[in-house]
Amino acid sequence: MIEALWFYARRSARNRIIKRTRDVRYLAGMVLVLAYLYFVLGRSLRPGPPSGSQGFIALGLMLLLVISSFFNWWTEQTDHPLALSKPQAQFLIPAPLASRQVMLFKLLMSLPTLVWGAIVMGFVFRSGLSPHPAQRILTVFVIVVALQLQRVGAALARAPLRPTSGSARPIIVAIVRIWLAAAAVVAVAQAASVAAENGVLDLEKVGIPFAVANQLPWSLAVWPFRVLIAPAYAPTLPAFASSIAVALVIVAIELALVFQGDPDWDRIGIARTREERLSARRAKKKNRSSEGSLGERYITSLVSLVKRPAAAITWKNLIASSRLQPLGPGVVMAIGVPILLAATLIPAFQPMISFVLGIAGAWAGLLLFAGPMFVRNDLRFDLPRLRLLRTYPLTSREICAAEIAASVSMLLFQQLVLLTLSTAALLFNPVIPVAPGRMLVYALAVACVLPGLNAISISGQNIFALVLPKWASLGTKRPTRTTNPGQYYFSLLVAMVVFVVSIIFPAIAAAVVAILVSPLGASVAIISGAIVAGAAALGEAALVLRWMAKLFDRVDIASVTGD
Amino acid sequence: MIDASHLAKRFGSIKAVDDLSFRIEPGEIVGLLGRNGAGKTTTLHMLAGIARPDSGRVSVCGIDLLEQPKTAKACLGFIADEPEFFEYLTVEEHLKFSGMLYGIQDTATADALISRLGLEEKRRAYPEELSRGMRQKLALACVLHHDPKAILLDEPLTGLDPAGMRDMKDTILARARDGAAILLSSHLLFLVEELCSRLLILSDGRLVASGTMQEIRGAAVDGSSRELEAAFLDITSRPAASAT
Repeated sequence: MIEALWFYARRSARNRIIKRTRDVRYLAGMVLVLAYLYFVLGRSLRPGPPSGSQGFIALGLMLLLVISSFFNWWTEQTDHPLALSKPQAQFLIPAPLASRQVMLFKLLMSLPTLVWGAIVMGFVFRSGLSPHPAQRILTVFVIVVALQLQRVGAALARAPLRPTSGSARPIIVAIVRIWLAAAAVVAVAQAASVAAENGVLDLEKVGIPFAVANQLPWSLAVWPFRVLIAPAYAPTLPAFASSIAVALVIVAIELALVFQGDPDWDRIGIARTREERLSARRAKKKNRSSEGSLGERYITSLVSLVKRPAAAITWKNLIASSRLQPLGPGVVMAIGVPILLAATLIPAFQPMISFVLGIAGAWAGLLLFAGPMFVRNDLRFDLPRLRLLRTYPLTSREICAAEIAASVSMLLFQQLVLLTLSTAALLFNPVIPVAPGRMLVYALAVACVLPGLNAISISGQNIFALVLPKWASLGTKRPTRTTNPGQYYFSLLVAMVVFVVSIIFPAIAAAVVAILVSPLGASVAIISGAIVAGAAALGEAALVLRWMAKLFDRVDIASVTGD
Repeated sequence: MIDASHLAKRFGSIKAVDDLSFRIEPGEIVGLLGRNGAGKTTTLHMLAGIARPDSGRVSVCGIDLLEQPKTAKACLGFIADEPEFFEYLTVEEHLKFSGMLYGIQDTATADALISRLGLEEKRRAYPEELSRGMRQKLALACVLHHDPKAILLDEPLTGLDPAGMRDMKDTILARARDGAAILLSSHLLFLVEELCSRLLILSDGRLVASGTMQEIRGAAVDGSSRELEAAFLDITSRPAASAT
C-alpha cells in the first residue's frame, strides 16, 4: 500500500514540476521567486540579535493557537481535513486499504505544505523569536503539525465515524470545548494583563483583576499552548532540546488520539469546494424568496441603473459575493474597528487609542494592499468558465471591465464603511490632535483616491491570473499542498509591485496640482490633489484594462479549465 | 446561417482543424461527426467565438465573427458537452442573467421556457441540486432565451433519459422549423440519422466527407449503400483526404 501511495505522491510532484517548468512563463516566474527568496528572505537565515518584545510576540502566538483551536472545536469546518479529492476517492475507497491507511496517506500528503509553511514562516517571522533560523523553523513546524492534528482530531470527533465507535465521543467533545473556552478567556485576560504592564490599557479604571489569569490554577488552561511555543525562545541548545521534546510529546499524544478514530470515508466523502458546501447549506433552506434577500435586492436595483448588458456580469458577481460571505471578516472589521475607536471616547479606554489606531491602520493597509488578493469575485473566479464567457455578446474589454467592477465595488464598499465610521468615531475624540474639519478633508481625499487604486490593484491580480493561471487560485477551488503558500506570497508580491509602480504617476500629478492650487488654502490643495490622483489612477486602470482584454483573448482555455 | 471558410487551428505541432469550409442554411440541421480527437469540439469552439482560428473566417447570420464578435454572438447559441453554470445562481437567476446579457428586459420568455422545459419545480434550485438532465435543460433554456438564429450543440443528448432525449429532439426540430441554422456534434449516430439533413465528417482535423445521409452512406469504398455506422467507420479509417 505504502509503495503505491508513495508512487502517487512522488510522481504527482515530479510531473507537476516538469510540466510547469516546460512553460517559459512559469520557469521565469520560478527563477524570480527563487531570486527573491535568496536575496530578500535569505538574509533572515543569518543569525542576528532578537528584535521586538518577546512578551508580546509570545502572547500573540499563544493567542493565535488558542483561538485557532477554539474555532476548530466550536465552529463548523468548511472542509473536512481528511476529505479526499475526486480521483483519490475513486481509487482509494474501492481499493483494499484499511481506513487508517487512507488516513495516514492523507496526513502524509499534508506534510509538504506544513514543511513549506514552516520554512517560510521561519524566514519571515523573526521578530521577538529565537535568532537561530533552524530553531524558529523547527518550532513553527511542530506548532503547525500540532494544529493540523488538532484540526483532524476535531473533525473526526465531531464528524461521522463508523457506528462501532464508542458513545463517549459527545462527552469528550464537550470537555474539550469547555477547556478551550476557558483557555480563550485566560489567554485574553493574560493579553490584557500584558497590555496593562506596557501601559496600553488602564486596568485599574476597568476594575477587572486580569492578573489572576497568570496564576494557578487558571494558567493551567493555556499550559499546553505555552509548551508548544516555548522552543521558539529557548536560549541555549540544551534548553531547546528539552522544550522541543516536551512539545513533541504533545504532538505524539495528539497523533495517538487521532488514530483512535476510524473515519467513515463514505460520509466524509469527496472534498467539496467551500462554495459547494455553502451552496449545499443554502439548499437546505426552504421557502427561498425569488427576489432574494434585502441586500441582493439592493444590489439588483443598483446594478440595473447601469443600462449595459455587461452589468449582468457585475450583478452576478455581487450576488455571488453576498451569498458566499454575507458577514465576512471584511464587514465585521469594517464595523468592529470603528466601534473600538468609538470606545476610546470613554476615559478608561483612552490609553488604548494608539493601539486601536494601530489596528485600524493595519486593517486599512491590509485592505489596500492585500484586499485585492482576497476579494476575488472577478476573472479569477470566472476563468474556469472561460468557454462560457467567450460566448457572451460582449467585447473582451467589456467582460474584463464588468468582472473588475464587481471586485472594486466590493472592496471599495468595505473601505468606505471603515473610513466613514472611523472618521465619525474619531471626529470629536479629544485625544486626536486633528481638527474635525481637517479630518473630514483627509477622509474625503482618501475616498477620492481609493476607486482608482483599487481598480489598478485588482487589475494587477487579474492580469497575474491571466498570465500565470496555474499559479493563481482560480474558481472555487482552493489551492492545495505547496501551491497554497506559494500562490499567496507571489500574489502579494505582485500586488505590492503593481501598487508601488502605479502610484508613481498619480502621486506626481497630485503633487503638481496641490502645489499649483496651494495659494487657495491647504484644504483645497489636498482635495484637488486627491481628485487628480484618483483620476490619474483611473486613467491608468483604463490602460491596464486594454492590455487585460488582449490577454483575455489570448489565454488558452486548457490552461484555466484543466481540459 | 453559419458559414465557415478555410478554418484552421493548431495546438503546438498538432493540426486540430485544417482548411475546413462549410455552410449551414437557416432551417437546416447539420451533424458534425468524427472520432475522438478529430477536431469537432475545436471547430465548435471556433464557431462560437471561444477559440480564435489561426486562419479562415466564420460568419454567423451574415456577420463576421472575428470582425464583429459582439453582433455575431448576439444571434448565436452554444451548448457545451458539459454545460457550465454558476453555482451561486438559481435556475431562474441563470435565465435572468442570460436575459440581461442579451438585453432582454421582460421575464415572460424566461417563465415560458422554465415552464416548457419542465423546470418549474426547480426554479429556485442551485445547479448542484439538478440532475444531469435538468442541467442540460437549463443550458438549453439559457441558450434559447435570446432566440438565436444559429445554434451549436456539442453532444446535446449525453446523460439524458428517454423522455429527456425526446424533449431535446423536439426542441431542436422546432428551432430548425423556426428558421435556426443548427450544427450538432454527436457520437450518437441514431440521433444524427433522426435529426440531421446533412453530415460533415472530420478526421484528423480535415473534412473527409460531407453530404446528405444518402450520399454519406454511399460514400463507402465499394459504393454500396450501407448503415451509417459502417459508412462512418469506413470513412474515418481512411487517411485524411479531401471531402467526398
